[in-house]
Amino acid sequence: MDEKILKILEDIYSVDGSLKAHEEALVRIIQKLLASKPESKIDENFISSLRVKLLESAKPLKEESPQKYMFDLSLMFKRIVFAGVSLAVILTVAFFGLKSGTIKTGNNALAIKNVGSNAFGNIVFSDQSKAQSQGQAENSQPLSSAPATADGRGTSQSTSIAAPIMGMGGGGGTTAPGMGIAYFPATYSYTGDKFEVMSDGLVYKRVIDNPSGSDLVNVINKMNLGLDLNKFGDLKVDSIQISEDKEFGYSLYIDFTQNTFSINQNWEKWPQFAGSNLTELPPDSQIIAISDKFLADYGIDMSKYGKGELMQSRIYYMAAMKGAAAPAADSMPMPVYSQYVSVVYPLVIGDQEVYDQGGQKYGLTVGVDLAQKRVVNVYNISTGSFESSKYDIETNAEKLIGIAEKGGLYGYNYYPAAENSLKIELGTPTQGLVVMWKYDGSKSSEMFVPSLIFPITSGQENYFYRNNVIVPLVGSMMDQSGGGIMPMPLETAPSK
Amino acid sequence: MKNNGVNKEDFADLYDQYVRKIFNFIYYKTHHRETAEDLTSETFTKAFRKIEDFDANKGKFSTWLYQIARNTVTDFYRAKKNYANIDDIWDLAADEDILRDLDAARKLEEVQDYLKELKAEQREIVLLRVWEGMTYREIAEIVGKDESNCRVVFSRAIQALRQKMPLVLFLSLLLFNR
Repeated sequence: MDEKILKILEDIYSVDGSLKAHEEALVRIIQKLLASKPESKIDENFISSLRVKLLESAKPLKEESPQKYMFDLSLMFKRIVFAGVSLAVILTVAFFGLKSGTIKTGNNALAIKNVGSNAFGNIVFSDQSKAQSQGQAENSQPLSSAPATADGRGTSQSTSIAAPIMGMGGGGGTTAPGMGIAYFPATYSYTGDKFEVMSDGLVYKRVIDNPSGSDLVNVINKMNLGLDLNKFGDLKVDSIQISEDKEFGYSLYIDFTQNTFSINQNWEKWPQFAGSNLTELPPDSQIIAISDKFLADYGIDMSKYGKGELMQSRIYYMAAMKGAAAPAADSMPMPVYSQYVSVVYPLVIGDQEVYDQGGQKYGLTVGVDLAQKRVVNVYNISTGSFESSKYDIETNAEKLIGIAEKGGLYGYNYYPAAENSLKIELGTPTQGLVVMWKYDGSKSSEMFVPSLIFPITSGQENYFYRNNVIVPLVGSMMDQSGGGIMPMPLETAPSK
Repeated sequence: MKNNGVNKEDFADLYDQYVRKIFNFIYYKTHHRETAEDLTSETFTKAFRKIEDFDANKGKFSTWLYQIARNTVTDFYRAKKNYANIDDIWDLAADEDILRDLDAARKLEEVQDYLKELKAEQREIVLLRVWEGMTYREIAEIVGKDESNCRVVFSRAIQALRQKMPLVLFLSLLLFNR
């Protein structure tokens, strides 16, 4: 056996000697990892040229008395350093419509323009979990075709479908559907009440305005960059980044192409942090208070977002910390404790909250460092107005329940049913919107589609990361059982 | 200025010592040569400008430098995709509109879904140990943890991979490697 592999095995056994029983498997995995190493092949010319560039920059840095442009720009960035002060102000004001003390991310009341029926083309929920489910197909089994019971209550095992559930993970403690730690088979059953679908069938689309346009290029051109921008054609500003020049400062990144902005810690201004050994999680209210305070201090307009709540990953981590019994012991992830958690403030459109396709609320997201008790980033802050268009909806409750019992969106992954499958119970659905992206060539549109939100009422405590199962009322879902398309509505329904 | 024992005159030596390692470190997080070069350049430029902020009492130079590289990669993807939960290319779906070297994509095809499921820190330790062949002492410096902790993280990550790799893939490994 390769000496390198032997050494790695020794390391593993020094931590857990019982793993020696799985030596053959471990060797194969290590071999596979070794064989998968991509060739990095650094270019020696690159090394040389970067070296020269760095050393050449030493002299001016020494001689230069760094002139930093400070200015007051609302409560958010009290000391922003930027090469061109006027440019930063103009760009930022143009983008956000800054008023004193508040960063405007759009109109307080959302501007929604109706554009007629079916205006956004076909709505297709593609298999977005494909990347995560690759390699699992071998373990697949056909979806049960048995229908839900007539009243949709208490469906039996035979009408449920085994589907994998991915525990949340990922670095930085901020999570997203599709980033998993562990897979557990699960069966879903509906235990809620009878219901009628009352949706107005309005699909929303975010409209991206670009107030920066090409005019802002003229502003840049007036700066002494040693470059005549007039020599370039059809220039426009795509993005800018401005940063606070102070301890624990932040950077603001503005993407004019998508009308979004994000705030990140300015790494260079945050002191080195030696890490943490957190032994207990602070209460939710304390974490949300840190986030709320940050948003209020920096005057971010929250009028189109709902109340903040911790993302579901926290539940996973809490369960892990408590050592809750997992249904599949040998699949149980090691206890992990994220230093970071995310607070999400759901986007609200037409009194409906927006969810992502994994069932978590979707909107402005704030990352909080629990060890330092500071906000580290704010994401998914969007601007712009919306268009709405009426679509036919699926109104057959039984069929919708049947889809929910197969896991709804993100639920059509394959995994063998097992005796120790999680038993997930679904309650009476509410109505909301689910976000999706429609790709058209090189551009993508952010759409919000009316959906039923089935709350998970039982079975969630054991490492189950989802809060809800989503069933869209409009469009088509890729049926992962056979790669076909499941139209929504399933039967033609008259437009209301 | 902090008394860190490192100054700009020393930087050329440090650059020579670390540039290849940093490039590889970044390449394994980007899978794209040009991107890795850009971010390597950015990492050393930041480090060079901020060298006087480095505090030897708070950690080793290598820890500090790798942290800058790690943050640079994270900033790159988060700014590009505007998601809070992206640390590197492993957090993106395979079909995301991000440049990847074909060779890297091909080689990683079979294992990327499983490596993806590891926490970023777990994955980093596994790849430094297996791909870079680093000792735990070296890895500990890079990730800012002690050696024994890195051993435990590595061992658990490999164990997790063992549990996650489906039987079919595992059998194929057995067949192809015999």
